[in-house]
Amino acid sequence: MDHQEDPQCAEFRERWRSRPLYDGRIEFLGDAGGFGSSPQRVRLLPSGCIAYAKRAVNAAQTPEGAHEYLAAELAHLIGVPVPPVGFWHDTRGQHFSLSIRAFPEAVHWDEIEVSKADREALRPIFSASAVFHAWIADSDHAAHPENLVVNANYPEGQPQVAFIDHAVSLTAAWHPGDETATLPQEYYIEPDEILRESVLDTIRRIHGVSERVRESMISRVPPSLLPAAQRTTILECLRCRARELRSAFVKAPGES
Amino acid sequence: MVVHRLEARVRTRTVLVSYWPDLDGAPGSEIKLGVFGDLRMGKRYALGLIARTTAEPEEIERVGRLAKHLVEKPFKALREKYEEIWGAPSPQDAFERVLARTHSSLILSDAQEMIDATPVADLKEDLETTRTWCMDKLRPILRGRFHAWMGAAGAAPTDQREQLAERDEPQPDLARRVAG
Repeated sequence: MDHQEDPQCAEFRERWRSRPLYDGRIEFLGDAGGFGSSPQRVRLLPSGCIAYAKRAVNAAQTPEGAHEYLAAELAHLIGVPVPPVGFWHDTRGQHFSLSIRAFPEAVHWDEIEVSKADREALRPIFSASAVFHAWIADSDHAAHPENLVVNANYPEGQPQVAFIDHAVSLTAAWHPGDETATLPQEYYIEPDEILRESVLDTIRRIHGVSERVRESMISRVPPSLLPAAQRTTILECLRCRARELRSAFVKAPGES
Repeated sequence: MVVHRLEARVRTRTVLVSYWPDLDGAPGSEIKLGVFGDLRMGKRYALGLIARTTAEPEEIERVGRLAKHLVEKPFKALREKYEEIWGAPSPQDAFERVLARTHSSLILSDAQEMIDATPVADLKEDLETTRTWCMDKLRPILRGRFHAWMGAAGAAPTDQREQLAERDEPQPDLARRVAG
């Protein structure tokens, strides 16, 4: 299931491993200059790599940038393809998350027709991502084809995909006491196509991400972009939902 | 005597649609496909599209296997998108969601917006007049932007097709606009 990451993505992931702050120059490619609520296409200089800048904390004070960053890091740890995310601020102190473009040439899931063989090849990835999205309480990958991109140049039989936009997850979607983790509805795969082996493997990987690793990951988010109370909520969400994954996804023998 | 002249506010937007075989590529490496445009006047909403019917073989050659259909017949591909938007319960909301998409080589530029006013007397006759007026207003704006854009780099004249429609739609709830 482990995928070969795009070289630019791998480079930024490595660069942001201990300190996810972009300190280079940025060129905004749209007219709005990054001040609206929509993501803005930007060019990171001098590499020329394209990324998408979005306000790190939205108007409702939801720490969307922190969600994006943590989702990208957690996904990478368990082998689910999500492009790396870092942070950047302008001279006026406005903070943005930066999501590196997934592939040099990409199309959205609903803009292409995938062969039966490639769909079959994607089953392990979608089985794993379904567990991952349930774990982080993500609600933007059910019936959201625009949040799955495909490498337009992948070799036949070896489809490459990446999940983007995890702003609506963690504290945006989960609160202590909320209902248990469930399989996302209208997902990229039908419930009966989910592979038990991939699910079990992903749950095993999730349980392998220790509390210390999660805490360390959260500590790398700049303090102003994630208040202490929300850090605690995120840890609780991940801990609580990790416990529920097995009962949500894996049926006991004989259970219909 | 004071004469009051009633005017309706008309907002039109145009958006350039291009395909980038290399997202990190330099400006100018994109393949120009077409222009989407919309018009809002009170409850009236119109959506338009003008796009190339075909692309040049050397352009198609630069495009990845899975995306060739988007570039080979741009109008056909974009009309599918148009129909999807127009078939949504709220076409304007659906259009906003398309504008907010990221990470794709199919790029919709930021909207170029124009706001003006038109005397209500011109429009009050009947619904059909208003409908025709909306599309007649949008059509030349779309064509103007398309031809100016296509001709900007000295490109040869290109075959193109258009699609326009208009309907009654309540103002969308801007707070619900999807961001990314």
